[in-house]
Parts: sequence; C-alpha cells; structure tokens
Amino acid sequence: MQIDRERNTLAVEDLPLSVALKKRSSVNAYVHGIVLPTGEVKWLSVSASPIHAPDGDLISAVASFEDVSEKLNSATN
Amino acid sequence: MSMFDRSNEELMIDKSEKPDIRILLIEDSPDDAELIKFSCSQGGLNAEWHWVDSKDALGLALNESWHVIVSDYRMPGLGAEMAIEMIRARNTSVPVIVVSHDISEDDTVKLLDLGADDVLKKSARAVLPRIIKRRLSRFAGQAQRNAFGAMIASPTPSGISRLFESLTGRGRHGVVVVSPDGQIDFANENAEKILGLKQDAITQH
Repeated sequence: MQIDRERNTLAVEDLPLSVALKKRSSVNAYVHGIVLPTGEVKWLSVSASPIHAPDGDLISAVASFEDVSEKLNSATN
Repeated sequence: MSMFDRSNEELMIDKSEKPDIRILLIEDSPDDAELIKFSCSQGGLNAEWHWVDSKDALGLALNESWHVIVSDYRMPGLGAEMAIEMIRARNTSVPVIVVSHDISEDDTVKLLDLGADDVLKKSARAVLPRIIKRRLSRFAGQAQRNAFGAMIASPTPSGISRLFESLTGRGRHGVVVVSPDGQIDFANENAEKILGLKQDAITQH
C-alpha cells in the first residue's frame, strides 16, 4: 500500500510513474510512503518523467528515487 | 629461473584475482614487458594482460576487446606505426599508448597523427598507470556522451535502458524505466534494494 505524507492511501494513478505515463508530465521529488508487510513505512522521494521520441510519441517513463526514511524520521523526532 | 625467464603466457597472466581491465601489450622484450606490468601494478592497476610480439598475434588479439593497448615503438617485423594502423583499421577507438626507449619529436608527432593517444619514454614508465587511468576516464566519458547523443538522436526503450544502466551503476538512487504499458524495461540494483520488492512489483511506483 502507498500513502502520502498525511498517511492517506494513494491511488496507483497518483504515483509519479503513473503521472509520467498517463499525464505525460514530470514529477519532481514527490515524497510518499510504502507500507511494508511488517507495518513499517519506507519513505521515498521520487522523481519521474516521460520520455518522448522526436515525433512526440511516448516511448518510456523513467523514475529515480531514494530512501528518505531516515531523513524524515530524524526531522519528525 | 628468474622472473624474466618465464614464457609469455606465464609472465602475463595473473590469476590471483579478477582484473578490472584488460590490457593488450605489444612488446618484443620479455624484460620490458615485465617492467611495464610491474609499473602498472605498483600504480594500482588491477589488469589482465595479454602479450603479443608479432603481426599475426596482434591480428588475432584485435578480435577481442581491450580497455587499453600499450605498444613498444620498434620491434622486428612489427612497429608501433603498423600496430596503430592495424588497430585503427578495425575502426576501434580503444586508447593506444606507445612506450619507447628513444623516440624523436618528429616520430612522436607521426604516431599521434596515426592515432596514438599518448607517446612516452620507457624511462617514464612509472607514470604509465596514471596515463592509463586518465585515458580510461576520458574514454568512458566519451562513450557515455556518444551513447547519450545516439539516444537523443534516435531514442529507443532499449537504448534508454542501456544509458540509464551505464549512468546509474553507482550511487544511492534507484532507477526504473518503464514502457508505456507499464512493463519494466530497466531497473538498477538499487531499485530492488530500496524497495525490497521483486521487479514485477516495481511498476506500482
């Protein structure tokens, strides 16, 4: 399950790669959480972007992300 | 038996650990070959060496891929000029470094014009590992720029995946590339490590 910073459940279409693919727009450093089977939340900062061919066709989307759980936890503690 | 009495094969193959790079050495003197190898080892290069001393052996060796080619200048039946012409005739951009006991300024210019990347005297062999590292760094940078240029000129999912694979071999970021239907074309090791998921679950991100 994916959650936002307020711990609301995120729909798949609101995730960065989906936005890049469906809306063909870039997402920069969007922070969301993954709820692991253990109940622990892993926080990610995700950037994603569509990749277009010269004729404008969508050919791929790329996402780059890092684990920011420690940064967030230290900031909130 | 001294270390200089060993055969070419014994002399040049170090099986102690997996090498980082492959170097082709064109040299007719076993003593000089050993000294060059020793200098590079002392300079921090962990290399697999392959030693050739004839035109035929060089022709066969050029069927393989090398990170760097180091060549003597004067050898019976095979000089650096012929070696460089054979190398460049294969349309390969592998860095070629010529090491010579004695070479004139004019001959140095001629070798550089033929396609040598560096020419240095054997008395300066201690700097050879530094030159090799610098050449490898530039060569890798150029290869990445070429890959990026090719991708921009004619982007394909596989080309993009290869580009990202080369660009994200190190670092802390996870990277995934997906096709328009959401299938993963590429995911680097960090992606799986960070997510703790198998690749088929990564599309959910």
